[in-house]
Amino acid sequence: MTVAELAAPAGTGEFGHLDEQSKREIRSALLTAVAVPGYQVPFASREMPVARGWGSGGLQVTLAVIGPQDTIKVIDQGDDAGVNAANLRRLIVASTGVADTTDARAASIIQTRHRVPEDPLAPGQILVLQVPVPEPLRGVERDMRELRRMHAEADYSKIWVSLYEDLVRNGVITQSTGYPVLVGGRYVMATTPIPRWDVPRLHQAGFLSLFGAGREKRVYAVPPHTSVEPLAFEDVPFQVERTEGAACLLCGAAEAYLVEVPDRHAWICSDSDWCWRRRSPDDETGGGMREAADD
Amino acid sequence: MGYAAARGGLDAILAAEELMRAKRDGGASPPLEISQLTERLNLAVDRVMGEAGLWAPDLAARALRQAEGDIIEAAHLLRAYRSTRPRLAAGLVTHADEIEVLRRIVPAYRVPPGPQLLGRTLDYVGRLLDDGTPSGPAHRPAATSGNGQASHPDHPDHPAATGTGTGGQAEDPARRSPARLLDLLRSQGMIRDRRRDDDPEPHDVTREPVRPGVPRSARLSVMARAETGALVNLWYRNILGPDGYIHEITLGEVRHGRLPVRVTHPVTGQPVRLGSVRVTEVEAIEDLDGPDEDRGVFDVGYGLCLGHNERKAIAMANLDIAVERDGGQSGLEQSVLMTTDGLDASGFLEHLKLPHYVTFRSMVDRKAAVRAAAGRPAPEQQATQQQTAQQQTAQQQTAGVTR
Amino acid sequence: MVAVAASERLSPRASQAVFRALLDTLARPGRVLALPEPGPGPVPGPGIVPLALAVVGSPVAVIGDPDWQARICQATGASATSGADASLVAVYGTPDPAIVSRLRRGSSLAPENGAKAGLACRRLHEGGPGEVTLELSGPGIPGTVRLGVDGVGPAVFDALREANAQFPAGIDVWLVDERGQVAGLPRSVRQAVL
Repeated sequence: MTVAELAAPAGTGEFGHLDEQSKREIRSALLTAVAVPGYQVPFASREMPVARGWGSGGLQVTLAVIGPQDTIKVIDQGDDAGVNAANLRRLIVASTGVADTTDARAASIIQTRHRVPEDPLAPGQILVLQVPVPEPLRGVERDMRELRRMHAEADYSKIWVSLYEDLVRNGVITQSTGYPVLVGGRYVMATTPIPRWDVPRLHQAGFLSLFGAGREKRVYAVPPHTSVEPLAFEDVPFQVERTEGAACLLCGAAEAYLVEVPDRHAWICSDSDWCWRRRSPDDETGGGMREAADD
Repeated sequence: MGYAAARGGLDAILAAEELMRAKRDGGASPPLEISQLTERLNLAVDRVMGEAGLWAPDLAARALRQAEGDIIEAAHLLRAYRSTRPRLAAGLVTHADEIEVLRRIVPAYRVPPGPQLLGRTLDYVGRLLDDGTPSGPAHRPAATSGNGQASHPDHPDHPAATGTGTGGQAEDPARRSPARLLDLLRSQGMIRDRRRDDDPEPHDVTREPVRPGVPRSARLSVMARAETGALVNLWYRNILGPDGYIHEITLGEVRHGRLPVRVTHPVTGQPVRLGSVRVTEVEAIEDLDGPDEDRGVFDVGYGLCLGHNERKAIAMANLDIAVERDGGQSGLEQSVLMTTDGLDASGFLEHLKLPHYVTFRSMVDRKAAVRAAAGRPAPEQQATQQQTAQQQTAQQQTAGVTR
Repeated sequence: MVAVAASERLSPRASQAVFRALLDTLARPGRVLALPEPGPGPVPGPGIVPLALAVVGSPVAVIGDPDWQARICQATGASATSGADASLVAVYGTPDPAIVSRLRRGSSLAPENGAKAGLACRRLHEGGPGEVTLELSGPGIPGTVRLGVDGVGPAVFDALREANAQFPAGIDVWLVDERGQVAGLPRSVRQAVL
């Protein structure tokens, strides 16, 4: 009997960094999350090579789910080439050897910070969202025991009141990103800091969304074909971000989430690969990793 | 100029890593040996092990060197390393009386049961910056056995270390395993007895996340791995306010020593000693003074952490009994459980450096919406108005000058 | 620890592939997927659920097959326990509604304590019909779908419906047929026997 034989059942994490026991625990939590849409399932979050708050939860979800046949895409703010996305992607690829892509249509798993890709995702694709704060009621209640009770009893009166007061005080609901939604008609859920623009795209979606909060040690999920309704009042429709007349400087899109380039008084697509493909539809090499052309 | 932030993200990361390596390993000074850290900066190494929750002095030293002295970064390296290690066995329960003390003090009594041993401590050394000349025997070449054992007999991890630097003397065994003050107080009926007959499994915080309501074992585990500054600060702000009023305990025991680690042998089924870890242990005596409490007895708070870190263990013991007595009435338990982890706190703080432009654009949109609802000028209009006003002011000034 | 035949302990690769099938079928109730090809040795059937998910010390109940009980516990390091205490369950033979009723359901404060169970059946038919035809709706399902199940009596599905009546407490079930196909019934699904 050697130490290696003793260690064998645990697996040594030669695929996907995490050992087998860790993966199984995360997988069990993910299955519960899918069975109870929008419920924050506690899980024993491991310390990862990325710091807490930097995607350690999304990374654990991806590493628990991913297999050799998958193709991974990683984006941050919609951009594949951002430093944090590049770092996470190289960690995943280095520990699994899976193929990577910037084309959302070609990826089987997309790990994302704060955006849903502009391309409509297909059944069979999995979106893994990085979550800084999974608790949607955080602004109206601090005591964790009370928060737990509220979710258990579906007592969401406090957040409705706070939205109403916001509306009365400011004339509009001022929640920017991470808009609270009701999932499956039962749980109020934090949509992570995705923009309001992306919230309707979670509703009755064709794809599975998994949410990982590493620091807070929770996972949650929205299965496909599940209702995701922003908390809104009947006579005050839910508003997405919109600036009249704004269109992408590079590809001309107006019906996508745009971010501002202030010193140019211009806008560009946040989803860099989608934007690039609109401009170069015949090029198959994948645009997101290239240098942007001087315009 | 590209319009997206940090194009060629991977190239940027690789360049940053190369810069790190060049600065850390370059320069005119000799490379840092692991033994220099474990022998000369042993308190920093101890702190890294304590905050990582892993006893591995050489690895902790390597992490500290790699992190260029950043304790939280070093603890992160060690914990991430721990995440990759398989679990082979669970340690057998070991009574703290088995700690072979290197230092033991009992502030509560002038002559406590069992000998006191001042040991290695800076407590009474004058805080005078020394002139920098090395004292003691001439420098000898660093020699480590490479398996975590320090070479110098005065180092606490040296197998023959006595903690007093006078190795070789014949010794009273009671000196190394002194009687506990707690046993005396218990025999006098002066301590609230919280011993139990059952033997519940301790809550493993690395297998199940904590939240308010967890058993005491979870609370102690969280504090054992907590960031030292966080625990000290939480203690201080609860003593002085504004958080709440807990009062200072009286220290019963402060011990620094080696605790044996045993597991069940997988083949023979017998207990076998793997080695020892060095810990700091504190028993803190609390004077009960609440209206519903038994004022005829004391209660006890407990602190234990890896390595020599007295301020952490004392803060831990005081917070332990404070949370116990608070019984969930205030937010103290939640603060202790959820806000004292160094990796969680600093990771979340520093994540603010990540791009947040998707969020920011959404916030700007809401600003415009609020202003529109109130009939105020939109941000772009406001900018134009200000620009026009500034131009007018500038023209008037110019006209004034040329007049 | 005694060395276990390699065929019974799932390799990391196989565990991941099985997990994806369990995930897909739970996220899309009514879909029938083929489990990955088993290795040499006996086919685990419903035992695939604890085999793929159990860790050392997991409380596991294997009902109706003592051989598989022993194999699964040895392969994973799980602890054998009764149906009422297990987090992972495998039910061999013809399932009895009383077994389903006894399984752990968790609570509204801790839905994660609800059991995950593999139930043996003879044959699954995506879209139905079967000896029992279920009509399913709810999360994961566009509108309604049908699932045909041979070898499980309607009383079992009645018991399951009753066990899941206090959502979010409940039991998550995978039906595993003799051909190695699997279908998922999360506690969120609304199911009726036609």
